[in-house]
Amino acid sequence: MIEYRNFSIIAHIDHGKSTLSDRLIQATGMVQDKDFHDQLLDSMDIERERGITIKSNTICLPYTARDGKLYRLNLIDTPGHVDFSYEVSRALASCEGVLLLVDASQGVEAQTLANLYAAMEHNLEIIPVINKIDLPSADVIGTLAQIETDLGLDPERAIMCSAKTGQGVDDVLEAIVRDIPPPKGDLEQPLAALIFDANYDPYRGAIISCRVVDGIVKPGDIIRLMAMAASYKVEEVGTFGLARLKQKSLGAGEVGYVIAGIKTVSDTRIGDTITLHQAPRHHPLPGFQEVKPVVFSSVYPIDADDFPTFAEALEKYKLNDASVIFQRDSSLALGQGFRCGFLGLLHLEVFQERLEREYDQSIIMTAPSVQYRFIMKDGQELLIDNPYYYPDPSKIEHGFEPYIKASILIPERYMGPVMTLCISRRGENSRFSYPTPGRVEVTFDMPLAEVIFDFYDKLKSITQGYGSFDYDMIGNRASDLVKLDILVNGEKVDALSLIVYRDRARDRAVQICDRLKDEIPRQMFKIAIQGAIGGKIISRSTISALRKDVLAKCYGGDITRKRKLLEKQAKGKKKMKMIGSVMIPQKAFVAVLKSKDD
Amino acid sequence: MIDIPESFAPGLYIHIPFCRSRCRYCGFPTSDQSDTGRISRYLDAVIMELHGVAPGWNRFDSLYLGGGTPSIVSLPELERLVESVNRHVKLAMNLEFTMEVNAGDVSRESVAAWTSFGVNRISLGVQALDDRALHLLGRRHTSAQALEAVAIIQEAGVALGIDLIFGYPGQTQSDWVRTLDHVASLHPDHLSCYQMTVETGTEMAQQITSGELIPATQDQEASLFRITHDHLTRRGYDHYEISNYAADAGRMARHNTKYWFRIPVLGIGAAAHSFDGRRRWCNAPNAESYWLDIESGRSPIVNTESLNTVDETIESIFLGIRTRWGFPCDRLPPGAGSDGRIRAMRDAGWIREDHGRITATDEGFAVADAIAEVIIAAAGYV
Ligand SMILES: Nc1nc2c(ncn2[C@@H]2O[C@H](COP(=O)(O)OP(=O)(O)O)[C@@H](O)[C@H]2O)c(=O)[nH]1
Ligand code: SF4
Repeated sequence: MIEYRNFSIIAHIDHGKSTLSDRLIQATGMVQDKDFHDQLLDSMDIERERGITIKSNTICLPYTARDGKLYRLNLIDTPGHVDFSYEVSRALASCEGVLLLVDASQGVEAQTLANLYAAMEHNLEIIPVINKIDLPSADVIGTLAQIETDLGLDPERAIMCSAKTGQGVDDVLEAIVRDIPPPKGDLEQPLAALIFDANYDPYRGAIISCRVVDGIVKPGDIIRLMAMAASYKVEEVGTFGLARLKQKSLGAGEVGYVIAGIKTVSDTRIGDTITLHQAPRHHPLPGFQEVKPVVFSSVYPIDADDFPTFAEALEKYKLNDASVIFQRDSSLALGQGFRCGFLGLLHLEVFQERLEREYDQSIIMTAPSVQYRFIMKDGQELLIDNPYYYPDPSKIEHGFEPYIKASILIPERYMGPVMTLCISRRGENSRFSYPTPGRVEVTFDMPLAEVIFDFYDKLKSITQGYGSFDYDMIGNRASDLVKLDILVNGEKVDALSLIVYRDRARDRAVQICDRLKDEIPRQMFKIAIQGAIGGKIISRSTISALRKDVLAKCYGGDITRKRKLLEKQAKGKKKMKMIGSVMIPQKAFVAVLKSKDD
Repeated sequence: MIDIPESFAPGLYIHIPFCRSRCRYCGFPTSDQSDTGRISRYLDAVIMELHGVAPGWNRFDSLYLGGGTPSIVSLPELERLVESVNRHVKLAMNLEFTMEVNAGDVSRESVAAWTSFGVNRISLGVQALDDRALHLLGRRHTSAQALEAVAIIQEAGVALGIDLIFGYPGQTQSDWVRTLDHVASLHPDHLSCYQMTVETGTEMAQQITSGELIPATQDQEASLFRITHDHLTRRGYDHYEISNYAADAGRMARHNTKYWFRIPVLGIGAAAHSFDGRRRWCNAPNAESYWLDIESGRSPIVNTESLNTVDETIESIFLGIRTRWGFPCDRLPPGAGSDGRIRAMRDAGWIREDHGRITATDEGFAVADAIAEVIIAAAGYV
């Protein structure tokens, strides 16, 4: 009889989660060393580069323990960013325990704590693992002490290992078997399986990753996705090896996949419960939430002629990312495009990078916006996430914007600058707690809009990377809002308009005019850039006309060189957007989204 | 408008990649190891190349000895080179024979010898007329030497072109006006006023990176360019190309003009570039690699490019726009003239249409590359 263990690894970035995962896969003999290709779990390029996991992957490791018994260890990978905290919570809800990985040369860090809390919330067994003990700079004693004092965990149970050399990896496997409880669950109960991920397969449609809590699921069953209220016939179930491994059934306690002719991942919801159509469970598993986009931006192909291929690429993209929503949109400046909604700013960035890299699209995205609520004088209520649809200001009775509770965990020494940053971003109602000596958790109520403009980068730079940030939506609050327009030589550039807090408008307007001045090349005539509210100009910058641009000598050898250079530059010019007769490079649209000092 | 010189015969260019010392701004493949042994070995190779390729070409009506510094070649060696040119190459009766000369190498004797070899036009590298500037540029002659050289050349009755540089770090407008006025008062037949381009990797580029020198801003460059135009045209010079001014139509640099009108030029020697109307190619980049190729019977050509019709059109646009004859409107696809960007350039006074040609205005000259970029983009050639 085979026993199961379901676990996750949680760690601060770079403490070695991916390396340890690879090592576990290797140690259980699933792959030969020679065709082992690094960090199998992190499959996307962007994840690799940024060292974060966006889409989780799961793998089942067969392991014969020292007691001679065969175990199946399901390693459930978790995404590593606040935008995906809901996905993390669902992955953790599918486990009985976690490995809490700490880099012996770095010690406990901000994110280690945040992760620990998440695991505690789910009552998981926590095994401290001290990694990188091979490093000369490893401070094992100090790290053990931190595990005891900072994390309140039993240092006696900590495992020492080096994911790099493989030392101690066997002990990690033994600890998983010994300390993490086997899954409970009742095969006789009606089926209840928790969906914690879904991926798209071009031949099979949505591949659901789930944890069976009770009951059993097998091919031929008619299953029901409770939140979606939809039923499908199961075609295949199985477990995750390096490829999918077909099984006869998945029973209570097991982790695996279900294929049921579901067309796209958008037809599934993470956190939803799978049950049987004929013998359904009364209540779904707890914790389901419908995740809603909170950040919106319009996306356009750089070259308007590319719209058809661009639209096609978006369709494909959506197959694998159910959390993005799209709607057709168009702009006078940028042509045909889509208005998109995202779970957060990182989600937006991931979207942008994947479209450019994997789908080979050159795109322009407009300034991200939150969703504002307006109560009009006639009593009508409007939800606006696109400045283009900003209502006639004379008819607005009240405006509201979404607020978040921002939690920032930092070493105490950064408290001053972090407070200043939050207050400058309209943070209010601040609270502090000291989860461990030397560390502060600062919470603020803040408008979400203040966080989507340049907040992460600022926070990272003022805390030298030690600040971790998390947020919850806490509803709308009344706000004095205006629409800021940007004019180039008197022509309004719709793609640059913003809805902003009135007292902020001037600062933003000045900033944008400055950035555009730097990014728009000098042209045949003077260019005036203005920020305006209604008809009133509140900021201005000027780009003087181009006066000198010619190679002094152009003889024999200069000619070929010059032609190539000209062709390259002419190509660049062709890609620029024409606003009236002003040419605006794509990077100008991007630059206004960042403040200058980074 | 003077006649468009479309019917020129090909030109012959011979490159002499040696200098006595290296100028601080120079990124040219030239060598300051200029002992006679090396020069002589190099000339052997040049003569051999000439012998091989020149006979296949039509009669040349311009010969240009450029560098580097051709004037450091000793008189007997030079004579040897010229003799072999005369022997192997068909030359027109009215040949323009230009030699680039460093002011430090000019004497009555040398000029007399050069003219006896057939040189009828001297391009004199004066660059500046103040010794501080000459030092900054790393030139090995003084301004007094330059003025004396001008006198000697003019006395000998040889056509004189003077090269000047403007826009070097620290140069003021009044420095430049003084230089221009002084040079113009000498009434040279031709003036080339090149705005300084600091090539990467040169001594001056390093001085700029380290902050020791501060380069001119775009607006300063533009003003200097404008001043050049105003001062020289007021004195009757014809501004016929971005950097070139002729005392009258008969005294334009015939050889130089071939490059802008895409007239074939055969380049002989290291780093020399050739164009036969359809293809462009160039020779091994320095004296050593060049003579090794020639001595071992290999072709010194390192790079050949065949131009397609679009390449040719692009060339005729950006080269043409550099001259006051511009380029014919039919180089643009029908309708391109109404493109917003091209219209904006017309409105901004950068270009105009005249006798079926598009030309840059005086203001447009200063931004000719930007004009070409816009036209090429608007015409859909990229
Ligand atoms: N010396 C040493 N380096 C390690 C060890 N484990 C991971 N690393 C290195 O630490 C870096 C971050 O590891 P990675 O697994 O990508 O971290 P993740 O961000 O937590 O997934 C990589 O350069 C690894 O090679 C270890 O045990 N010893
Ligand atoms: S003389 Fe001309 S080629 Fe020689 S170093 Fe000076 S600038 Fe360069």
